[in-house]
Amino acid sequence: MKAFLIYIGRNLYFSLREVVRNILRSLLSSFGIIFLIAFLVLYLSLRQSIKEYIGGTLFGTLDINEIVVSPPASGAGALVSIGGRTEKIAPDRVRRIRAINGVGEINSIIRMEYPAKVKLEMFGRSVREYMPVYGISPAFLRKSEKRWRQFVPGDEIPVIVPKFVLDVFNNLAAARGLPQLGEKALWGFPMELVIETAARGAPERKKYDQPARVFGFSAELPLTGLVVPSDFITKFAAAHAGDPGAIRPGFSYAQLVVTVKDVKDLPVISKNIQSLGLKVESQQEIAAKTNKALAVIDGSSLVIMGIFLFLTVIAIFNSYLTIVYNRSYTFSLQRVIGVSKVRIILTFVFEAALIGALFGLIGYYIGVMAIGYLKHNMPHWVPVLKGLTLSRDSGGLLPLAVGLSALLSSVSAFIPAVFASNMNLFRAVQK
Amino acid sequence: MRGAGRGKAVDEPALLSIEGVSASFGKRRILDDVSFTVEPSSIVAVTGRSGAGKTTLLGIISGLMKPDGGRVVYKGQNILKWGDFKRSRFRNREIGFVFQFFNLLPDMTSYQNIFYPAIISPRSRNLKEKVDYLVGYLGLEKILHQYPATLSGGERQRVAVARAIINNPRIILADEPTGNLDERSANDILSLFKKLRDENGMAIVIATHDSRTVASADVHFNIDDARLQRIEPPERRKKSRRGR
Repeated sequence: MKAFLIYIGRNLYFSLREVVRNILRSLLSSFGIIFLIAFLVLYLSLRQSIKEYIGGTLFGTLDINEIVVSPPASGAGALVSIGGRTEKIAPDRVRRIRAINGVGEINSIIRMEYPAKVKLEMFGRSVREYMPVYGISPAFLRKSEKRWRQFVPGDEIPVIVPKFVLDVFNNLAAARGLPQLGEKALWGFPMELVIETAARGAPERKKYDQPARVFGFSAELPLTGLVVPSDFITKFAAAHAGDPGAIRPGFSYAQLVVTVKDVKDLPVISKNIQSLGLKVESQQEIAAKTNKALAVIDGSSLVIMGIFLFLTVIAIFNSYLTIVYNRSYTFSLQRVIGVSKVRIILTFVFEAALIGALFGLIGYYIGVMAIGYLKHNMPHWVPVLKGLTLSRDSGGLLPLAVGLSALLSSVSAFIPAVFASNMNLFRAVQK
Repeated sequence: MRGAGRGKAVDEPALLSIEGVSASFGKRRILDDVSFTVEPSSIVAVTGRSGAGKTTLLGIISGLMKPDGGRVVYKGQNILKWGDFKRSRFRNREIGFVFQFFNLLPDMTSYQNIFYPAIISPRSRNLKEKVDYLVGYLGLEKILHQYPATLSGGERQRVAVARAIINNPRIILADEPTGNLDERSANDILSLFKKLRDENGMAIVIATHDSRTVASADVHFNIDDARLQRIEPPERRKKSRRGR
């Protein structure tokens, strides 16, 4: 055991000495590994983040036994009502869905059809702006906004502001010379919803001021207007249906989340809803789509990494072969003074593994730095990915990066090491 | 043929025995049925023209080259039957090499060059003491931390000899050890070999063209036309004639 440790220790000594003495050559010989490992770290982090992002935005509000039903022209994950126009789900469709055997609870996103202005006072100035108002049931945000359940009808209307709306609002504020406000500043901010029961500009329209307060913010709701409890909208519509010139019905369905009593029935129910001319997406379907998207990402990344891998292996192999011929004198002499072939191979491969590990480490940190850079800049380049949070190290990538790099380097060095151990030794030493 | 050992007991077996060794490069026969023995505490000179096969013979004795046929017997075992690991260990522990062009590693100091064979041997102990002893023994104190490029030929060869004997081998194989040295340095190296033979009981096999080296040897073989022939020293030849 002691002899074995001495043997390993001495091999390590030789390897380290070679690396230190030929640091420039060593660095150049395995340069490709840095790019490969950096790309691998970036790719894995990106993949993990995309998965988490999709899971967070879609699955976060959806259970395995739930189906998202949307109007035919929109998608489950798409922003509803871009430009203020909403594709609607007709109320009779909702009734027919309710009648389908096996359908349990239906949570809906409804849109108030009455024009509504948001009125708020900021920095001594009054801001009034028409804005779509959506209603969601208390159960809808049950996973992320538990306090939503605490809403008591009759108090100030609690308003949830989708992140997208906050951005729009801030842009508007900036255009009017007002400072932009973040979530902290707007939390609990009082406002009034001025609801007009008739169409805009109609002479008989009535206005109702409803006190409201910012209750929270959400990145999960794909909506372009303020969100209030659906109870408020339905009760308001019922109460003011008789107003002169009142819009009827006072609300429409923008999206439904249908709970299926038994998961086994989900495909059949899904098909039934589709037959009503509506768009249907279940978690299973989203998962399938997500997996398809990830497969495309994986495929293209694997092709890129494969090319990197091939070029790296060829480069390392070539470099090590050159190193072997440059050091043929040393190897020959080692053989003469009693170093076995196996030890020459092991020492050389070990040396390559050490260099590889060093490069893996460098590549890992370059990858992490690239993640940091992308994390900061990606939302500016691709605004849709604003919610994407790149993880700097998803699941202990360091050992993987170092280990893979060491393995790659040592495998590439193996054949040159065999060449080194098989040189025409006695003849070489005579030169 | 039998090599003469100094102070060898009658029943003591030979240290190294080369039996019927043949070697060729392509169609050219280099060694043909070569046999001789090497006794402890002896200097064996092997002469022959350039390309006669002297270096090949040293390569075969050390187990670095495989002959076409024959045996190299060390302590009763044919080393040619051993695997690479055992032959490497044999070279490391039992054999020291000295070359015409010294073959020191240029990026190592004299001290590191001497140290080198010892560091790869797991059984090496008290290395520093060993090196210190050798440095004193060979008078290398002043050049210990110099690189080979800054040393004279004689100094380099003394460092090479120190490297060859660091593991206290039984046999030294020297390929033209004085071939690249001036007369004084060559004499120093030959004196050193004699000292190693007399004080340490080492057997030294020297491939050489140098007549002084031949004169210092206890046994002289010549390779001619791939055959090994023992050459008797002139005084012995005279003695044997008188005896008749």
